[in-house]
Amino acid sequence: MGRYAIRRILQMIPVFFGTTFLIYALMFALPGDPVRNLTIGKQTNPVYLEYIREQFNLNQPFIIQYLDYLKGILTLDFGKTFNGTPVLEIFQQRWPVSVTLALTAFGLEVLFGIGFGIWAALRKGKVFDHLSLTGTLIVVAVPVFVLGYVAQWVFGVKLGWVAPAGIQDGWPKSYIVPAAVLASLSLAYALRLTRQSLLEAFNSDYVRTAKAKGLPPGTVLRKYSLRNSLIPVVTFLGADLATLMGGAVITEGIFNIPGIGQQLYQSIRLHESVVVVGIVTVLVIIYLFANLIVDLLYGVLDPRIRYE
Amino acid sequence: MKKSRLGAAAVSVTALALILTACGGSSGGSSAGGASAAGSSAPAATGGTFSVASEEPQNLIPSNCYDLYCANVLNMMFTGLFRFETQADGTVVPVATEMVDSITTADGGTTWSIKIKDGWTFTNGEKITAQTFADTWNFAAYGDNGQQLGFVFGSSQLNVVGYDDVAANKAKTMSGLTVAGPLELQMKLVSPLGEGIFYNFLAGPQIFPMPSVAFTDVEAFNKNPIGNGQYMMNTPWVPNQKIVIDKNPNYLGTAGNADSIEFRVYNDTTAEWADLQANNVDVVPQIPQAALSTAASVLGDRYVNTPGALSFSYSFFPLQSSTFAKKEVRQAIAKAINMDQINEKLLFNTQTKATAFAPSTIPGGGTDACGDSCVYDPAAAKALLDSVGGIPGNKVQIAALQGSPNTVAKAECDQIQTNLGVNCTLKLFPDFGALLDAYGKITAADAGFIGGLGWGADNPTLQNMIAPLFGTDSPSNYIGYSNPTFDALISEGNAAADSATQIAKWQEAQKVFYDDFAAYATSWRNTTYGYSTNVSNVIVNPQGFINLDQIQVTKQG
Repeated sequence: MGRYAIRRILQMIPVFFGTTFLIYALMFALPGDPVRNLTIGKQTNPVYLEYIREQFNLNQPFIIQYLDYLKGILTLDFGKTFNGTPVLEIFQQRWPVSVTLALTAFGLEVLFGIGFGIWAALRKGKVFDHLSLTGTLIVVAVPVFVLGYVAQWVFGVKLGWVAPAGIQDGWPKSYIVPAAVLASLSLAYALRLTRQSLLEAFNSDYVRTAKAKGLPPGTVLRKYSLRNSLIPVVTFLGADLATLMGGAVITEGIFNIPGIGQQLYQSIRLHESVVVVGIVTVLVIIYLFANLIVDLLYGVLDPRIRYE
Repeated sequence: MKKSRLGAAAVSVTALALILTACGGSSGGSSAGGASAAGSSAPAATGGTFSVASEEPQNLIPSNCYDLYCANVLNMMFTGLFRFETQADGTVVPVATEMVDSITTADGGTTWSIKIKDGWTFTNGEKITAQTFADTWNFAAYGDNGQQLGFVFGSSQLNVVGYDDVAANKAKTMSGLTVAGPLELQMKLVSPLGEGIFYNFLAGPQIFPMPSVAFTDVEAFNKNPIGNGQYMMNTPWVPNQKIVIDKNPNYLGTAGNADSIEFRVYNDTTAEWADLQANNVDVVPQIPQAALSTAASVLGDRYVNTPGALSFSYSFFPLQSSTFAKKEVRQAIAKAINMDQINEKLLFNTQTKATAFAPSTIPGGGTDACGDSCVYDPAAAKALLDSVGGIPGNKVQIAALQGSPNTVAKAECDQIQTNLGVNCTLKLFPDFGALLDAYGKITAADAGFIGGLGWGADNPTLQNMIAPLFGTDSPSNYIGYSNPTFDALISEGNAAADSATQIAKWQEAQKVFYDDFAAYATSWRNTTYGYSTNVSNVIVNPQGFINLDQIQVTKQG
């Protein structure tokens, strides 16, 4: 298993260079002059624009710009924004916020997605099962920004339980509503997935055998049905953790959470290539690691799975 | 929603102060009503803390601050030579600050002597002298320092002798800037400037003095700026979250009202709006488009919508394209669009139809310079268009941005279609840079498109509303307009000693421009903002600067 993990990690190196190259090329291909955009609607200072072009190598052809960026990375210099803030500093400010939000959302997703999923499966056809079906259908059908604005208005403006925006109140008060909104869609999927695969397991031969042997229902659920039915759920959740971190652009926008999603949106608008490349590359790496962890978890859940 | 325990303590202090005033004073007038005078000496009016919604400032370096968000912070932290004040007639003019001793010219506006008062210091104790100003301005002008506002000393504004060499990194100091005494600075200009415009040029953040520590490590200074103003920064700037400034106890001029001001960083005006409704932020200097329809009913008197912000939207035509080559075509399009209706129905009267480039808050502005071309008259527009044989191909395009609602551009297109019978479609661009790139490439053979942009003035002069946009070879002249008569009138106006002549010259230039009709201002923006129930006397001036020092905290939120 150790060798397998190391091999997977080594595979990430070409992926890293591939991502940086692709994203850098895509940013370069965006139409419009980024420097010109900086001064639209106010008096243009040619001296300043020349300074920015010089600073950010914008007068150079693509390949030189990219190689220069790579050279910077090797010396741990990830570049800076047009305002002069180093990308590393932005990472230090923004990643903790996004990670907190994503982990809170992930916690809610695991807790309620799996919890309610088990409950719904155990009471198949009863009131809770129907309620959860309706609830998840609504959540899946309603776009996340609608959900976000409604939650903000109800809990922030009308009821006044939490501040409508910002993170001044810290964790958990400032994070709980945005995290719930962020988690809602995946939570609904996790719930349905857990319920479905658990019901399949209930009908399988080994569960029937276990029941026939007279094992207590709790043991059957934990050791036989749940453990086997969790594999698709874990796959889904693992991939979702990375999505939660990168996909929070809308939620972070609505609730004014200074996370990485907000920065990504801003930097794409401003054509700040180095910031976008940095953020996306980190997201890709998180995604790869999440996938690796999921693959390794399979072995824990199902000992028949072997790594070579 | 409630803030920290510190906030609660402040509540009790304010409450105590209220009780004390109620006992002592007979009138005990409350300071409600936004228009109350700033100088009122009610004890309850000072002290307290309030929060202001802001975007993340680009930086907090005066000579590099070219957005409203850093300007609002720096205006409180620094005192320069002039600041903008709104006069009784509603116009905004530069007024000398308490630090200025005298500013005089002996030769009709070419050489200026600037004297400052003794005793002013930065909050780190450093004395402010004429040398401080010279160092700051040389720093701002030096090309490799990359300061956005350095251009103010160049040919488009002050035009100090020796600027070009400093901007090109050939010299460290502008030769036109000499220290004549500890508190006296001499400034020699390439061409004379009238008093009115000279004072305006001396009012931006680039004029604020910066301490010597700023020049040795500007990065560190940016994080922890040290000024000479009413407020100072005691706690570091928390990037993307907040900036807190506290009263400067040693300030020599008139102190601000509140004890401290918190600038809260938002990325989205909708979030600001939600926080304002919950009384969670006190001053919101812009209301999101989506909330405009309900803002007045939600906030009542606390929603302010005053005409006359120093910015306008303008439409421009590629004259080289055969579609727009005829002036009548351009005028017909302008006449066919009912801006009043668009402003009322789509923008909830937060913009006002423009009849000139400068609104009435600018001396010499608010006139009807556009004349008949800006009068909505669909029948006359159609007749005018028909008189020149219509538009080639009978279709036009209006530039718009991808991903934005483009409600105004769509409405304009609909009206052109309905009133002129010309097919109108939107031409989408990813951003303004791409729009202007495409605009610059239009040739006679191309159909081209009608462009639309906004402009915000740096200072309240008619000159700043038109010269940067339409002067020959001006870097912000995106539309490529060039007319020697226009340029000459602008320069004559700049040099005119008395302001009446100056304004008349600029108005004449404006008239010349409208006669060519290469572009026209469609709407003046309003100053639109809201505030919470915790504060009063909130005024945002036409430039978008908030009178933060005069805001009174009536209730600690």
